[in-house]
Amino acid sequence: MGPPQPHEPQLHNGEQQRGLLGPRGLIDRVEYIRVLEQALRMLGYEEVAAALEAASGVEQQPPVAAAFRSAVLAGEYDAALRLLPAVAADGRVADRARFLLLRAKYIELMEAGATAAALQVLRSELQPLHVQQQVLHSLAALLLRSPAAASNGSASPDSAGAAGSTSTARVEQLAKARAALLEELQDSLLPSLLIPERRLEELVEQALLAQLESCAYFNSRATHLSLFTDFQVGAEQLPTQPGQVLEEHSSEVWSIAFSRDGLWAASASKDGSAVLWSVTPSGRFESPRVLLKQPVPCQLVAFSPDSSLLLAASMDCSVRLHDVATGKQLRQFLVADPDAGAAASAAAGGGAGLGAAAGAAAAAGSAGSAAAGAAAGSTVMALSWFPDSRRFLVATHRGLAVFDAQQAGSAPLRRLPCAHSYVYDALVGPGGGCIISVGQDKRIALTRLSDLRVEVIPESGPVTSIHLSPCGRFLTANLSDSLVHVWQLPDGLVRSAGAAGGTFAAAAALPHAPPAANGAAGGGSALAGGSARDPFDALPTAPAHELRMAGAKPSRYVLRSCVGGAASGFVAGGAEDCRLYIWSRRTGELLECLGCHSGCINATAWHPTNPWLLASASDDGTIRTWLAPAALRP
Amino acid sequence: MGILFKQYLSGDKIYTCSQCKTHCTEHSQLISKAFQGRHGRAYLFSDVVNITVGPREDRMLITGLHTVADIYCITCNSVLGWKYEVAYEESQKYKEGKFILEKAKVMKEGSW
Repeated sequence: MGPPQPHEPQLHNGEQQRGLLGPRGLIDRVEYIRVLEQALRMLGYEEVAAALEAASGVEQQPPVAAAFRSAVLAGEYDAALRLLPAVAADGRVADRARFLLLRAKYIELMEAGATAAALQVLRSELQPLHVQQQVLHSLAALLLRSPAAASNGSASPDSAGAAGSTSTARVEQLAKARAALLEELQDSLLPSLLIPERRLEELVEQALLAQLESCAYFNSRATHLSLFTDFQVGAEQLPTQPGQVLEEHSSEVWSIAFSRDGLWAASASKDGSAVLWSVTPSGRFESPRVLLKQPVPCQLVAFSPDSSLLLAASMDCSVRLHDVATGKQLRQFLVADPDAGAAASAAAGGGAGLGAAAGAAAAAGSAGSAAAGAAAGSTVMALSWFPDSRRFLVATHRGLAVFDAQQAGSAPLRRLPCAHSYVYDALVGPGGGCIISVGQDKRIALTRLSDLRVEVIPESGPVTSIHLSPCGRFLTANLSDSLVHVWQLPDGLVRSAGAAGGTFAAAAALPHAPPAANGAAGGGSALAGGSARDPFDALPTAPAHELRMAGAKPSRYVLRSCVGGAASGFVAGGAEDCRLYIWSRRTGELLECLGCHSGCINATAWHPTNPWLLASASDDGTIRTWLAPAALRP
Repeated sequence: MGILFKQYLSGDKIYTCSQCKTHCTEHSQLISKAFQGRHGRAYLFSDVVNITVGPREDRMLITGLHTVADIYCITCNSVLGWKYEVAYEESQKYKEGKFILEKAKVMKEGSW
C-alpha cells in the first residue's frame, strides 16, 4: 500500500474528512486512520496516537466505547453493564453480552472467595435473564467444586487454582481472562464503535495468507514473509531434480514408505525382500539392510507411528514385525479369513520355523479351498497402524482385522464388520477412531469404531488404493482408469480418538466441530442452543479435485499416490507411462511431470518432515529420490 | 509388472475366465446368448471387467462388417472374446461398446 492519497483537498483540523484511499479506492480514510491509531496504541506509542488524533481530527473510538473497554479490562462489570446499551447492537445480542459480563463477574467473585456476593449475582442478576436452566445449574455447580477446579468451562483459561497462587500470577490470570472476554464480547458489539483488537495486524496477516494461498509452488518450512514484496516462489521448491538411484532390489519394487520421524525408509519388492534405509537430514538414503528374503513377493511395508517397528506383508499371507533400530524380526502373524481360518491356523500351529509355517499355510490354503476366491481372500490388501503403535489393521479381501503387535500368532484381536464384499484398501485415521476402506462396490466407506457407524461416499469407478495426508484432512483415491480423486474430509472426522486401550465397548465422546477455542465459547453456544455437529453428517459428495495422469487410460496395476509437502500442499503420483506427476493439492493443477524411470511407477512417498524430498518406486527395480533445487543450493 | 488390480464382483452368478478364474462379468450384464464366436457359442454382455482391450481391426462377421478389438484376461492374457467398437449397419448399432465373451473361454461361478 502506498502513502495515502486523499481525493479531496486538505481540510482544517477538527473536521472529519471522508474520502477513499488506496489504488483501487476501496479504503475509507476515516476507518484507516482509526485502525492506525489503534495499532499505535497496541505498539505502546500512546502519545503518538494522541497526536495523530489531534492532527487528523479523527478519534479512534467514541468515549463511551473507550470507557466500556477500560471497564471490562479493569473488571468493573457494573460500569460495563451500564454502558452496554450504548455500545451493543440490538436486544437479543445485548442480552448475550449481558450474560457474558455477569458470568465473568460471578466467576471472579467466586474465585476471590466472596461466595455470598457471587450467589447474590447468580440469583438477582443472572436469573432474570431467562437463560437456559442447564446453564444456571452448571454455574451454580461451580461453587460446589473446590476453587482449584472452578475454572473448568468458565471464561478464565486453565489455571492452577486461586489457592496458593501469588498475586502477580492472579493478576496475570485476570488480565488474560478479561482480554478473552472482550474478544468474545466483540461479536455482540458494533464494530464501528469498538474496533476489534489488533485489527491492523489481522488485516496484514490475511493479506499474507492470501499471497501464500495463491502461490501454487509454496513448499517450505520457513514461514517468514516480507511485507515489502508480494510472495513469489517458483518451481525451485518442488522436488524435481533426480537424486539417488537405489538398486538394492532385483525385481519390481511395489511399495515404499518413510517413518514418521523422517529418519527411516523401507521398501517392498517382488523379489521377496523388504529393505530398510536410514535417511540423512540432507535427504540421502544410506546403509540399506535387507530385512527379509522370502521366495514369495513382499507387497507392503508400514512403519509404526512411533517409528520403532516395521511391518512387512508377503504374498504367502504372512505379516512380519521387525524392530527398526536393530533390523531383527520380532514376530510373525499369519493372516487368514474367517472361513479359511480354521484350516490355515491348524496347519500353521504345528510349524515351528518361518519357512515351514509359510509353506504349510500355503499348502493348506490351496488344498483346502475349492474355488480360487478363498485362497485369494487371504492375500493382505492393506496394512495400517493405530496411533498407539501397538495395534495394527490388516485388510484381506474378505474383511478387516485388528492385531496386537505384542501378541504372536494368527488370532486377531478383533474382526471388524466390513461394508464391502471385497476390500481393496483400508487405512486407520490418525486419531485411531475411524477406519477408511474401499472395496468392490465403488464406494469409500468410513467406519467409526466407537459406535460402528458407517457412512459411504460414492465414487465414479473402482478405487484401487487410498492414501490419507498426515493432517488427516485430505484423502487421495486412485481409480482404475489413471485418475486420482482428492477428497477433502471435514475437520475432526479422522482425528476423532476411538476408545483407548483394549476394550472397544465404551463409546468415545464425539469431537465437537468446530472445536471450541475456550470454555467460554462452549458456554456461549449452549446459551444459543447450538448442538455439536457430527462430522459424519457432513461428508463431501464430490471430490475436491480430479487429477488425470497418462491421459486417463485404464490402468492394470495398483498405483499408489501420496499427499505431502509443506502444509500437505501437493499430491504426487506415478503412472504406467513411467512418469511421476506432481499436482497442487489446493488448485488441482498439474505442476510437474517427471520422467526418469523406465518402468511403471508403483508407489510414491513424500518425506514427512523434509518437504523437499520425494521418493518413487518403480517396476524397473529402482527407487529414485527427487530433491528440490532449493535443497541443492549451498 | 506391479501389483495387478483385480476387480471382484459381488453378484450371485459370475462368469470367470476359464483358465485363471478371474472375475469377468455378471449374469445381470447379459444381453443375448445368440452369438457365434470363433470357438462356438458366444454371449453379448454390456460390461466386462478385468480385461485389456487390444488394437482395433475391421472384421467381417456373420452380421456384417464391424470394427472390433480383441479382449484379453489381465491375469493370464488369454483371448476371451472381443469388443464391438463400430458397427456399420443401422440394425447392428446396438452392439457398439458392448462385449462378446465366448462360451468356451468362460466358466460360471456362484450359485446357479
